Amino acid sequence: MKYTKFLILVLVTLLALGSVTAVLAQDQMGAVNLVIWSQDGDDNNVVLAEQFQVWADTVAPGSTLEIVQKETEVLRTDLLAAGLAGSGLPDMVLGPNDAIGVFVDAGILQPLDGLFDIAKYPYNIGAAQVGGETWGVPTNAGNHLMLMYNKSLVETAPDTWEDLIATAKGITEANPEIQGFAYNLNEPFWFLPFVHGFGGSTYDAEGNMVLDSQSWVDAYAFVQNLKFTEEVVPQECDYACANDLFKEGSVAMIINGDWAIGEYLNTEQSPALGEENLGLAPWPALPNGERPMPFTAGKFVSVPNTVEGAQLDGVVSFVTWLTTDASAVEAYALGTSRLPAIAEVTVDAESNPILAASAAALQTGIGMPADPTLRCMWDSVRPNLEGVMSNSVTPEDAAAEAQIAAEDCLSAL
Amino acid sequence: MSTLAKTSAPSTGLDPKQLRQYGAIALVVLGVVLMLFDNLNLGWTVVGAWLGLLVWQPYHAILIFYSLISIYPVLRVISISLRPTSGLLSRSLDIIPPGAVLTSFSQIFNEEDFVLWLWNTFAITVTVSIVGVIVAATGAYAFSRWRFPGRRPALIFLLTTQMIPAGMLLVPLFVIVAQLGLTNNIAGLILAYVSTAVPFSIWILKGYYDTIPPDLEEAAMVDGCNRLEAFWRVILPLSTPALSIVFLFNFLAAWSEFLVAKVILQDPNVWTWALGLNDLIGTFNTDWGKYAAGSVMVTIPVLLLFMWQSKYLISGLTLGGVKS
Amino acid sequence: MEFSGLSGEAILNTLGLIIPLLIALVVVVLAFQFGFYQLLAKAFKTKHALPYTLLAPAAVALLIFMIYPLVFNVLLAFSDLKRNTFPCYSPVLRRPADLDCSVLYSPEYAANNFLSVFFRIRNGEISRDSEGNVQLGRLLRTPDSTFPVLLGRTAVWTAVNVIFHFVLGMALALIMNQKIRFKGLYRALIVVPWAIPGVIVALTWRQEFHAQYGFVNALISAFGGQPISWLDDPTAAFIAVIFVNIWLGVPFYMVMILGGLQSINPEYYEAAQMDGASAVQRFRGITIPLLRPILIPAVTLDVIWTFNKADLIFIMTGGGPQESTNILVTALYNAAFGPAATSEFGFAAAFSIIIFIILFFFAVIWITTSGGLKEVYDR
Repeated sequence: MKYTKFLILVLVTLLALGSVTAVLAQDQMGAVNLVIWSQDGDDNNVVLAEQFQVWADTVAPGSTLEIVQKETEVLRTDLLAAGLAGSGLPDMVLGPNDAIGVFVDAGILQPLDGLFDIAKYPYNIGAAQVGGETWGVPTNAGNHLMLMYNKSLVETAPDTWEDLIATAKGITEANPEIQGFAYNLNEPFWFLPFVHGFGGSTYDAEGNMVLDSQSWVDAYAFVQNLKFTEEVVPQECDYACANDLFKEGSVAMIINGDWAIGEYLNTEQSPALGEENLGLAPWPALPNGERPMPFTAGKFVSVPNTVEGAQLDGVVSFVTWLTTDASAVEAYALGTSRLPAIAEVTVDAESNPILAASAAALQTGIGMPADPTLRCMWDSVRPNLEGVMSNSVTPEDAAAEAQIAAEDCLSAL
Repeated sequence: MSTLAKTSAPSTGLDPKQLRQYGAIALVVLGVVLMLFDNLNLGWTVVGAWLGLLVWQPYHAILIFYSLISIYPVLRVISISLRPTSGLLSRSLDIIPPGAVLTSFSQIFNEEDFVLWLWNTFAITVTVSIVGVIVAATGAYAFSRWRFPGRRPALIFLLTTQMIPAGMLLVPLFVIVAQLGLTNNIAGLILAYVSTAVPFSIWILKGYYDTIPPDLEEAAMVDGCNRLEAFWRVILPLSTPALSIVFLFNFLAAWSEFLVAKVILQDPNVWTWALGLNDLIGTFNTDWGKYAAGSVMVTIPVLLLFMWQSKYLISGLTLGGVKS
Repeated sequence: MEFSGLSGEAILNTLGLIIPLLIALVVVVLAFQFGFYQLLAKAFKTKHALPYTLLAPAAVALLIFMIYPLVFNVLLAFSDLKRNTFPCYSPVLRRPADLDCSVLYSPEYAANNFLSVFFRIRNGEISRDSEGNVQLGRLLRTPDSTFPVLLGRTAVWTAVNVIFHFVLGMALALIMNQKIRFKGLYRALIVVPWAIPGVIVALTWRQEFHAQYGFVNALISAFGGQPISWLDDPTAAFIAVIFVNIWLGVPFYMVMILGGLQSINPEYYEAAQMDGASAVQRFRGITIPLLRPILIPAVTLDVIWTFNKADLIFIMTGGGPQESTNILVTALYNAAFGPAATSEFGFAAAFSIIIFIILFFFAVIWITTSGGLKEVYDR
């Protein structure tokens, strides 16, 4: 019996030691030097760097993260070029989901199903899935367009477009220097919500791309009307214009995405806004009673196919922590003014009314697929939307032409 | 070519010069009157004054008008850089904006790696200009003084390189640079720039050498110089205008190049100013104030260099062309 | 110590790259030239050893960065390189199981790539409409983005620009050639567009053409005109980019022509005036013929440069609105790299070769008929 006791003692000690070393092995790893290409804004990249430092200090002391900021289009061309050249790919890519399909097509990414616990991301992981595999994990949920207004100029957010038009006109009448409403007129991403609101969609029930249904025509007619009949939007305004005017208080209401919230809360960058004056609301309802539905997804971390070994372990460890550890997710979400992508972390409406309003607007959206063919829709709609917005193309022609262009584009893929 | 002035005055017996002066005064007055009737719109006075000048001193009127058009965008960039807000949009046409401040200038130094970008660009540009001039000067001399087999096709090839569409070389260039391991290496960029600058430089220099009589070198060679010494002692000193023009062109081209730099230099630590400033006006964070301040600071030096060299510009570029 | 990103370390790093590069260049180039000269002079006994040696560095530079990329580009035109075949052409990319990589380069691909520039290709065949007519291919996404339309627009763009450059440059040069005061000041101011970095020019002018906040519309409104949506209206946008490019190109002509005028011997004019020749006659009889050796190369270069001018249009309008300001080279850039690109690099390579050939033939015809470059070769 003595032996038995001794044996148990030894076993227990071994087990304890083993679990301690197991824990140590899991928690501590060698330093890694990682490179991430980020499509995110500078302020958000600062938050990312801070988060990485927290992770590195606890898990892999001495690790470094080089953040290279790249715009959407630059990120896409540089990734394709680096992939083709066979060198210079980063360890991680942080960006919206729209390009994921393209990168998967080009063989640049590796599937993440075996590396991450996909079930952890219930809201929007579908936006990073192509061909039954997962190619990115979300750092947040959102990327959705919503109505943003300056509370010092607009008391309550308009609930219908009729309201919005009346409010906008009233503001300009009261002060001709202030534009009532502005948005990125010629950009399809701002146009798609109208199509959804009129009951349309990019794909039909069989999955074919349909860009010439009645809903598309209605949507073109609606935005054309906004500009040329109601004259509530500026004659010529792109993203930078609407954004600049809103920040300095020369525009009362705009449509913009959650990525801009952080910038608008910062009174140094946005003198006319800040927590006091920034109001967020869902899109106003269309004449048919429906609200336009923005595409929703989020920002995703993807991993290029060339990453392996210790680098890959580092990436997996960091990204798992960043996107699933409750305190990390919360810190990142608050730091970037975005919404968390895991069920464990929720936004408290009391302490953070802005994020709560953003979350409410998110509810009105529809998930954006990562399908690489979606690119054909964007490219085919853009020139026709420009035609509609310069009053040189009728809504019917625009819809028909977009369909032809999309079919051309699809056949080239 | 003084007919322009003559024909504008009918021969009525009056002194044409005096008549033009009366006409000029009348136009200025008309401008002022129109201004008084049109809500003190200062534009009419300006137009009146200019038309008056056109009648009185047509050459100066045209040259002043064109000079203004030429420098106007520069004035606008300066104006944006002095604005108190970072927004680009303003209906104000004042060159010195209301509440002008220098914050954009201090911001670009303190918040961005602007001096690093300038240093990188400067290092690249100077190297390219020097190497480019050396390579082109010797090459052009060969074209100018010898009739060797392949000379004509080679000259045509140099012209042909100018016909290559910019987009044509980007993909191959990227792959080649990656294969040679030159990504993010300014040496790669320098070699690429030198190659693109050489054809035009050779053309300019060859044209210039052609105007220098071969007797001069022959005299030097009679005095005991060999061919290369004659080139060094006689031709090069005589070619200063063309050499300085080639240097200037190479400098300008490398100083503001963007597309190739973007392909080769991806690491922000080796960025040139063109890449750095471009980053400031991205889609989602447009900082026009800083951008304009940076633009002013990168433009003013080359502008001064260019204006200072503009007298060489004329002789250096065209002496090769005209036989008088 | 660091100032605005610049540290001693950064300076040393840069110098550490450049100085060895320069030394290596000098040593390698001189050694190469010496060996090359010995080889030519001793082994081949050519009397042209020296000129070939002098040309060798330029030739090697062009070989690596011009000729090799050109050859590479031709090879690309024989490939099927596009987004979903990327993995076939690069070992590091993930190759899906169903991707067929058996043939990387083939004449069939080349035929497909080149034909796609002109025609609509479906399943390797030129597509026909219901009446059996061949359908033209779209290089971008609008019906107007076919090759003939783009070529026509490029021709208009080039012709209008070159004509205005020429006329305005000539007019300014003739005025500047008079005895007037402040000549140096005017010259310095007029060459300014030439010296400003192109990116800055394009962005500044884009802003000046803004419908609400630009100077151009402010000027129009000041005199009671209707503001124009310069960058949203297809025709207005094309006029705007042409205007800016004319603005950019005039100084080059002014400088070239002024240089030419100054080198014309004034005695010619005095003699003609004594013979009673009018100003127009003098201009046509003396000025133009004597300027010919300058004008022909200047126009040749200007046509080539304008035809290939992608950056200005790209920054000002991106080829829009409705793809209506695209010329051939911007369409090429948009097709290969633009936001609407499908990364069909094989097709883009074929397209670029065709643009190049068009320009080449134009230049050959123009140069042989004008005869203007003859003396450049024969002198």
